[in-house]
Amino acid sequence: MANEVCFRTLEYLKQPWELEEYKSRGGYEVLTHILKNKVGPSEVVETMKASGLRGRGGAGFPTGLKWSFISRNAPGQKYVVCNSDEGEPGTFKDRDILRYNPHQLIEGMVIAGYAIGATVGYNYIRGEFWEEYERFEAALEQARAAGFLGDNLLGSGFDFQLHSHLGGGAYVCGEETALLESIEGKKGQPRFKPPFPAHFGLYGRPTIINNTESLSSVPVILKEGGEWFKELGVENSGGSKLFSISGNINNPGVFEVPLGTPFSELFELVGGMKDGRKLKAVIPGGCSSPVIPGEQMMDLTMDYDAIQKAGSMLGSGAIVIIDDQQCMVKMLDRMSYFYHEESCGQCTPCREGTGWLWRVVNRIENGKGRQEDLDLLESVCGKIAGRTVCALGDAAAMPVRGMLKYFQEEFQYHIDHKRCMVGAGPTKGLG
Amino acid sequence: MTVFKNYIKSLFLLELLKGLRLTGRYFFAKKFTVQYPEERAPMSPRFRGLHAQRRYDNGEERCIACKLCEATCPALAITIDVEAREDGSRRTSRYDIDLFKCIFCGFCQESCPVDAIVETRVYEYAFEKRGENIMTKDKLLAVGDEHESQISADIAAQAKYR
Amino acid sequence: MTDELVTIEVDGRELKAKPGTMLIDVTDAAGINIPRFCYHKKLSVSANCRMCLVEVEKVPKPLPACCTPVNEGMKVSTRSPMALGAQKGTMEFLLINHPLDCPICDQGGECELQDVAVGYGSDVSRYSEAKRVVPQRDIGPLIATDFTRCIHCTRCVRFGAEIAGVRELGATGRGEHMTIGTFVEKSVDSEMSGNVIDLCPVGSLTAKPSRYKARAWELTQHDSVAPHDSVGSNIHVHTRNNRVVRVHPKENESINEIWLSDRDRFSYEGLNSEDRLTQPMVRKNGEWQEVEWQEALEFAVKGLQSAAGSDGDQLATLVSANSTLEELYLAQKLTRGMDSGNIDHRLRQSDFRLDGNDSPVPGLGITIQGIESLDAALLVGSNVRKEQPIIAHRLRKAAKSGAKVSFINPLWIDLHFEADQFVSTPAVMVDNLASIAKAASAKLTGNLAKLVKAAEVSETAKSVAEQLKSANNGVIMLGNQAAAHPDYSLLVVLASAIAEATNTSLSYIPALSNSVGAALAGALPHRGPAASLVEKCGANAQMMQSKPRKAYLLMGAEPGFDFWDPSLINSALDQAECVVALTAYHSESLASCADVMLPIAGFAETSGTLVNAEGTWQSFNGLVKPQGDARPAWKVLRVLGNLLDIDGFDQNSSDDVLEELKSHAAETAIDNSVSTKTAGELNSSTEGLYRIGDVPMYASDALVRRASSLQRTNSAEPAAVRLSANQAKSSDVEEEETLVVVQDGNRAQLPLIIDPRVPDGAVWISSALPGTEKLGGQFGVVTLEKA
Repeated sequence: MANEVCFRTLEYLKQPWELEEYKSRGGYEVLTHILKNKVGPSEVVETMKASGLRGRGGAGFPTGLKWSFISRNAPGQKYVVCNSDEGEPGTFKDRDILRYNPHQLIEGMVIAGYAIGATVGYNYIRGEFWEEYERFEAALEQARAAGFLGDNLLGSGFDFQLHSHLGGGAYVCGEETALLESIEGKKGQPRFKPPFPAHFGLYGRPTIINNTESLSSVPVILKEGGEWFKELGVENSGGSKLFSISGNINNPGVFEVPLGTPFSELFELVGGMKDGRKLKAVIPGGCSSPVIPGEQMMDLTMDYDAIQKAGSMLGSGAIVIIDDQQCMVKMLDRMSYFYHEESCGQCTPCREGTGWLWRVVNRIENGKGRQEDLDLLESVCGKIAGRTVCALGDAAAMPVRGMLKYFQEEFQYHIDHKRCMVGAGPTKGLG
Repeated sequence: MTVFKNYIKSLFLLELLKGLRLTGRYFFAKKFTVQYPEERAPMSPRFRGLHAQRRYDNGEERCIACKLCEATCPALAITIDVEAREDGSRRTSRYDIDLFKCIFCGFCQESCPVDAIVETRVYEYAFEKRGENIMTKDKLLAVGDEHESQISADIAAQAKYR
Repeated sequence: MTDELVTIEVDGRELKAKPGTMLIDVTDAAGINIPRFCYHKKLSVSANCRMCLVEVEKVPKPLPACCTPVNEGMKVSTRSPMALGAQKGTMEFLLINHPLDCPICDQGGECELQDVAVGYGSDVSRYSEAKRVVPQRDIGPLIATDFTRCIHCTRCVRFGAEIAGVRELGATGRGEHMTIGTFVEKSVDSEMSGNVIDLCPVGSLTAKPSRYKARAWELTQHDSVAPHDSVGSNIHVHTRNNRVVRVHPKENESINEIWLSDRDRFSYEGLNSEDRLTQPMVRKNGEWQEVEWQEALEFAVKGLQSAAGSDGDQLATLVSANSTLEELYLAQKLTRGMDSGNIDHRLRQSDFRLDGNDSPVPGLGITIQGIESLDAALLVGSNVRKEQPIIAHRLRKAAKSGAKVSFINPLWIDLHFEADQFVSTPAVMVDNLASIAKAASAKLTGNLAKLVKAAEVSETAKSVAEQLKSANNGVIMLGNQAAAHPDYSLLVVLASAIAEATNTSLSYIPALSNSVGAALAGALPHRGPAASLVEKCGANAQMMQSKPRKAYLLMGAEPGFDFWDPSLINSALDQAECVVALTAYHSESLASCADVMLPIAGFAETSGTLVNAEGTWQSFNGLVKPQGDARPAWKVLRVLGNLLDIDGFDQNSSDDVLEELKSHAAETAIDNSVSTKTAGELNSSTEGLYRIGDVPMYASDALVRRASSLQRTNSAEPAAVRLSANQAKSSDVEEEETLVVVQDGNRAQLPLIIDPRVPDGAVWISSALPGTEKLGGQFGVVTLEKA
């Protein structure tokens, strides 16, 4: 059942990123079909809606619904933007798509452009993904040469230009409006919403922004049908999903499995823990999602609803597996520092709060914690969450709250004994 | 009868002796008269006497010319002019306290964010000419320099109540 | 557009509002206070401070009131536990990195952060780590910075982008490291830069000239009117101990909104200049002596009577149009009382050929606010941005909403909005305007008809004429450089004819704060009070100088700096028997030629009235005592009138003077009509190197020339010869070389700067700057020699 969508071509091909190889497994057939037979854009959008595909970037907003917000016939320029600014710690799935299956993404973006009537698309690639950027550029060249990009695609009269844009290395540019600002050449700072990009997006024009994985899924969904995709997964979580699994496990990497797969199966897939370590906890959806203790996780299935019920989020599907040798305080120290460094500085709670959180966690980690610090952390989190322009503030607060919820005794131990509860010396960080 | 009682009392000088008993008690008791100026009465660390301006240990004057004392002074006894010193720091170019106006309420000391203006235990001063009643910045600093150890001890003693 | 109102409920009160209005605007109008830092009614919404979070029913999270549009039935609580919790939370965050240096902060006592902290802050900080410190930055002589105090509201950044039109301040860095700064250590040079001081809610940006001068609670606030440009910006003057400490704008939506130009804001420094004349002085046997008023006045009267007593025409009165209405009125009354018609305020004009047919009361003709709704404007000879920053700001607003603005100028000017500029030497400017007149088929006669007929209609002229014709609301504005142009009369008549042909209006941008008032007061040789033509026309400013008189009365004008041709006035004054100068300053250029100097009160020291460009009369009181023995000029003139035995000098207050003038001129409005269709021959020529002499922004009058901080800005450049690279090559001179400028036999040594803003065939030598006070007219042929 695995590798049905984004990775469907990979195991059959030697160099799946080459146009010819991609075409040999049915690549660009869907696009050709749509353009040749003039499939109605509304039909495309309906299929997407039927597929139940939820945005794979983290928020999980239904993709088809997002597309339907833009009227195809509205005058003026519209844009399709792909968010390949994969900055969430623990996530590395979009990189593999760009690396191994760039043409499927291109095909998906052209179809998206066709569906909403946009003639220009941008792929915003994370600043550190230099190799992937070059590979994507090469794929663009091939697609242009083959007539899948440019003016009058396959004689259909539909034009679509696609450009890639390399980011400057800011996590916050993964936020859709900050990403738009960055493409516009401004400082990457989120805009306040509403208006949403569907009305006021890139250069003030209607824009759809989707994650790399979402857009890469489009050709397969249209080929196999929305129902097929939906039935891959479970209720309210259609399709299959890429999971980036990391930690001290035997076989870390990116795995495509249907949504609703039990975590225990995934855990087997990655070969279990390394060196006889024990599973302690799991961060199920990237660094910003609250941690879930290992034993609770083993009973969960990997879909949006189940994880949410457990008090966390599926997010971008970045599963960080934490073993019993890891100190949670040290881990939170690293994570908080990340948010402190990556806050854009625009709005007050995030600019000031993330730094405060990190400093408090850091002092606990360094044996200078005070008893009141745990309450202080909780209180500061409460003052950040839900009060910022974008979700970065929530992302910084959630892991702290999660850690305090399940692993308070480790923090208490740090405060009381000025050292780690696990292991004797300094511990290793994220796997 | 009454007349007779009074006669006896006055004959044997009883009232005199009664009075002398009190005198005698105090004559032999421990004396509490303070022989000022040779002797001094004890003083509270909160005593509000002559004003002084303090310095930091490195000799830098504490006053930053925030003018809060001037604003809070109920008798309008304080006059301050401010200028940026050569190094750009905010300093007073004039700091006068008119002791004729001052009511020694201590508000200036209360309001000072840097403990620069204080009221010392000094209360023995007199003016001979008009104009001497104005405590200029130099005079205030001189008082502060002279009594710094006492001032800092007094401030330390009160610290927990502030 | 439907005007239907929606009903919302805020804290239990029902409010009506237009749908889509931001919540904070609605609550502000209703007097419900929501704390805020980044929101400002004149700037775009950025919603970054998160201080205005309020609870909206059915919304799980608190919403920022500044960017939440109102909807029907919305229920808002601004003080519910959720709202208060959010506000207090934000306050705590803002304070953790804000230094506790309120005692030495100039904003202390008038700080928005302090105020809001009293309501929403906690008395104890839970933050015990090191606070953020930002290194000091010097951004120029006007604005003191301390970015450690910054709360990152970005009001200053938005001001630059949206109001000043120059992005001089920006936020660099990310997260906690975000700081406000200039681009690579540049200074902030906008002519409106001082407004960021008012906008800054904390003490990050404070006024450098008044740094540490006073705490907010010591200041007394007075209302007044700015004394420089013709906008008449409303101001608050803050005084302490009988000294002006600083100037702030006063809100007046129809004039300056809430803005103030730097010149109006910082020029008060000139009041306390060492140059102030504090005691009357007379020249006895060639030596200046300080004397008492009585003696000085008698000396002046004797001098005036002996020089001009028998022949009124021998008295010439030259007054600055920065004087108040009362002063100007009394000056003309005194002059006419001595049987002389020789009075003029147009010291920077050289072409008076239109007098009699000129516009009676030249002014904007539209309201200052009305400039915003223009859809086409042609400006002739105007560097409006430097000369009248508030008018330029209004023009910018018009241009932003689609108005087509074009300039016919002798110099390329830096603008903060989109406009077409047609730049040429002064003589060609007339041709350019004639070309537009032809394209617009303007009706002219005589000489000008010939000129227009000979003009070639260029594409640009066609497009400008077309823009003006198609505009519903268009103007042709004549600026300060047009007024100083040797062919001003031609420009006026051409402009007036174009305005008529294109159905637009003719507009003048008066140069000084009371130029309009001077016309109303009758400080003109051919027009008396209320701009009525007089029977016996006196000599105009030019004639008074070219044909020297025996007695001169100067008011508020310095010969080397306030006149079109410094050399001409100097020689006239040198030949006079008696020169009486009413002046606030002791200047070299006066001391060398005057016989009596009477110290008069400066800005903020006298009561009076100024009439601004749109014709609004604005009166103000004297706010501080004049320095030394100086007296308000109207009092001096009044006593002079008495001593000269002239009737009608028995006013007891400036109000009396004003009432007297009002009985003549209260109903007189701006009148830009021109009653002729022709003008004389062209004065300016295309032969030789033609000088263009503008008046730099910070040299426009005696007060601003002595405002030391303004004089240290980059905008206050020293005098120089400026040539285009082409012209320098053909004149065989090189950059930074010191040149001798020869104009009408006068010589001055000035450095050469290559400046692309100067057209070929012209040389730009600003007037009113030290180094140019001996040169000739603002426009005219010069030759350059090597030093």
